[in-house]
Amino acid sequence: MLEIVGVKKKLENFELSIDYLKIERGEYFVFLGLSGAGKTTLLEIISGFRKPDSGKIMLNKEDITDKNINERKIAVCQGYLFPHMSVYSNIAYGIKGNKKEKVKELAKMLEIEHLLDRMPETLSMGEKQRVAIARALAVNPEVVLLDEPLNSLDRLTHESLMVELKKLHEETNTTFIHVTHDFVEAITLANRIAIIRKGKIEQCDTVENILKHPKNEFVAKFVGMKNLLDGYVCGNKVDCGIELQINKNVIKTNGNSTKKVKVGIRPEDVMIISSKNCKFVNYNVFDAKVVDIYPLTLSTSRVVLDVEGVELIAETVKSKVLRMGLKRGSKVKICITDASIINHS
Amino acid sequence: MRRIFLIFFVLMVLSVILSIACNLTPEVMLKAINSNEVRFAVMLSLKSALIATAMALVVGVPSAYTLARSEFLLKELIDSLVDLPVVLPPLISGLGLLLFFGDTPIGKIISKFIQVVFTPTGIVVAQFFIATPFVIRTVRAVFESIDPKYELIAMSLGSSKTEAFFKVVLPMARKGILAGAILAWARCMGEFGATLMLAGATRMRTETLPIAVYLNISVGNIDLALSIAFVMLAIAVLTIASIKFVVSGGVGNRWS
Repeated sequence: MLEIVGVKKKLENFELSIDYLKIERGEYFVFLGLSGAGKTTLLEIISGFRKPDSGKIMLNKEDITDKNINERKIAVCQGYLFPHMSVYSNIAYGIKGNKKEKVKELAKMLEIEHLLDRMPETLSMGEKQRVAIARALAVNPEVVLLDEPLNSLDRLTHESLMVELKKLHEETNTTFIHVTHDFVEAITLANRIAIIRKGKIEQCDTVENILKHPKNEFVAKFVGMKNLLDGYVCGNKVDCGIELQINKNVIKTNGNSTKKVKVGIRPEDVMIISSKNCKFVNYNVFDAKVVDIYPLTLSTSRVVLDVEGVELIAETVKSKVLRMGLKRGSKVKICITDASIINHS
Repeated sequence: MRRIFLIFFVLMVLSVILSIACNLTPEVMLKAINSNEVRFAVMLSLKSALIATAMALVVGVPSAYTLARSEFLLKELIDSLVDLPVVLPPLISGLGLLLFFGDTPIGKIISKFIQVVFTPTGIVVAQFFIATPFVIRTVRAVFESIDPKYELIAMSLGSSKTEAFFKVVLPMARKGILAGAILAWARCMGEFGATLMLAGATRMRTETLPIAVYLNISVGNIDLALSIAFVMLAIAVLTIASIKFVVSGGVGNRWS
């Protein structure tokens, strides 16, 4: 269990400041934030590469803030393969005892057995990352720190390595702390995510909770909530240009019916339905007009809709767009299956 | 137009080389090679330069690492002091060394254990003083070009700071250190001014190659002086060639 207690570090433009954060043993924890948010600095403080101005880092209840880097049992996984050593020697670097067997086991796990005799300069980016991961795991650390490990990889390698990281984490049962700016990476891998901005944690929660209940507008935008509308709470409904029922009709109003709110709707929660099927849904159904459609990935499309004068963005599978014959100007019905009240201002 | 300047200077360098080479006949060269004095000077220069370079590396590499990686009080001043022997005329450095070893209490105590003034040891000391800043400057630049993250990561994998230095940083800096050593060695081979002041110019005792040229010119033995000059020219050409070879990756290509 790793605890970050009252850590402060003055940086060039802002101060990194974490009041308290606990990362459980065996957890896959992701720090998500834009570049320059302070994620890497925080990782460097945890690893001992930098000293905080104040505060403590505790590992299994022991204060390790002033402990030497090599005594922390925290391995850092970053590119930086030792260029003068073969892949085998890189992985074996920190192993005490039977190097051969351990390297073999890790190489098998990461599917890099065929690379062991090669020098780092001859490896592709993806292969280098695999070696770096193996090297970090080789020392049986309590915590592995991964600083943007999937950065600058091509799409295919990125996807496969992401899946493998998740698998590795499950197999090794080690605490993984991963830093990234990639939201998809974060939700695929993490048990919990901390969204970090200008040195402060904006929200720290499970993936599901962050997606459903982003704490503020920044988090909402960061986690892909494309539709952010101003609205008012009216009884058990929200009026944001369109009148919505939220969370199975339960809305906390604090008894104030004119309370201003921000309503967030994820694009995948805007369901485009054919008029024939709309009888199955009996709330949050609206008439809409397709303003624009463009491809998002190979299999999904983004649809810009005009719903009673309010612009909403929906994401749907391409096959549905084809099946329904959607094009600019098409008249459709939409159903908003979920929405969240983000902040009360 | 610009090329004319370059051609002018290249021609000047070539004329210097040819002036030495063309004034030599194979017989004169053979005679010089067989002369005891030349053999003595070559051996003394090789030995003293080798010892001085080794000492310069022992002192220079850790100093370069400290200057590259640490921040400390008066760093700028210390940095300038380290560079001083490069800028100072070697003759003045030699004079300073002579006064230090011959005339100061600390120098006198040292001289009780090891004679420096007007001895072959003085040659090594003078060469070490002149060559060490070259090692520090070259090696420091190499250390600075190595991202400190390599050491930190080695430490996060269980190495102590010293272990990380010897296992990771030093091998990574290998080429640069080698280039620095060759440069320092060449500087030692050619060292004249400081050697003349501290070790003196005694025939067959403190007679390094440059001292031999000086002594022979002063007694009008031009042939021998030219032969020694030719040997030194060959050493200079070899030095440049070997530095180019090392830097371009000829040595230990797998380390790059």
